[in-house]
Amino acid sequence: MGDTERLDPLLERAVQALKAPVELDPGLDRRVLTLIGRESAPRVLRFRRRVTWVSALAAAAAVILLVLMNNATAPDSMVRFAIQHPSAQSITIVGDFNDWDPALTPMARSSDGEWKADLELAPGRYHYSYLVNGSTWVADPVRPAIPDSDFDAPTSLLTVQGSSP
Amino acid sequence: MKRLVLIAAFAVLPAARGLAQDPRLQARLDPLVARAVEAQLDSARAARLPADPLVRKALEGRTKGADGDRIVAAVRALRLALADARALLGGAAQDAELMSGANALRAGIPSTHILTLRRERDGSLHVPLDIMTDLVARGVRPAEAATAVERLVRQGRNDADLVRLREQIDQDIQTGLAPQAALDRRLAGVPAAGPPRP
Repeated sequence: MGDTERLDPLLERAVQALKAPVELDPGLDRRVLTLIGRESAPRVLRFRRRVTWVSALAAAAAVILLVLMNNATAPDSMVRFAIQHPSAQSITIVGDFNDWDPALTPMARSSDGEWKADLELAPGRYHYSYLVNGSTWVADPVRPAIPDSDFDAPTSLLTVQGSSP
Repeated sequence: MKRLVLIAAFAVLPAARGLAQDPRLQARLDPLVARAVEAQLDSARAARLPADPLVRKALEGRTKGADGDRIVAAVRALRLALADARALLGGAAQDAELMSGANALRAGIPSTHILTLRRERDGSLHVPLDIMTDLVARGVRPAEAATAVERLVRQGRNDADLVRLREQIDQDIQTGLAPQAALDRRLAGVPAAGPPRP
């Protein structure tokens, strides 16, 4: 005797219904995919848009850098600094061109007591001084000195001509 | 994704703040002085003024042994001069022109002369302003230097003419002529009306 023969007719119908193959709505797949697409597609698009923006910004930065590099290649001029000071033990040049760092530009002494240094400078205007023996400030005797009310030390002014006079 | 953006923003923030700080100041100035100078730099940047001359002024003060108060005062004075130059020369003035204007003002050139120059010439004024400052540095009185350069610009003289004039005055001074006399002599040799503008 089969199991179904002993079942209540109601239960028997339920069992038959459960055993019957389920037929899905043919549009279900399409609807589910659409719902998934609503969630994921914008994220992908947003990511792509960000990548595009980052690329555009990187390209713009590269262009700006190239322009700046081109501008920075204005020809420098060799400038001779010289001061007669036979008794000095050391002389360095400090100024706008070396961020006023006394360690950067020591001068060389020649046998006749003249101190010299040659610097390649870009066109522009520079304030500078000589530092003698690490403690005494001296203006360049061959270039105009400007009053330095800020720090009360002799300061000279140098103009290096560029493309514009 | 939002979380990633926030994390990236917080990671970049300190670096972005660091961009406003000049490592030269951090390396060579007392931290308190460096901070006070940085405040001046921030004010300059906010007003679209060049910050690099202010950094160099601070470093100059440090190397010349000035105390912190004096360094900050010098940087502030230069920033104010740059702001005055901006007001006189206009919003389109480039950094070099602003610096020339600030130097001229600090050399004692009256602001009215700078305004006149601005009216006389549309292009950059940095060479005429530099020549004014140079003449003052050589010993010419500021008003006389300004009037002389102003006259030449009004005649349509170009920058090369002005540079030539400065060189001639230098030569005269080196031969023993007084600065004002050298200027007067060279101006006397300049025709009343210059060549037409190119």
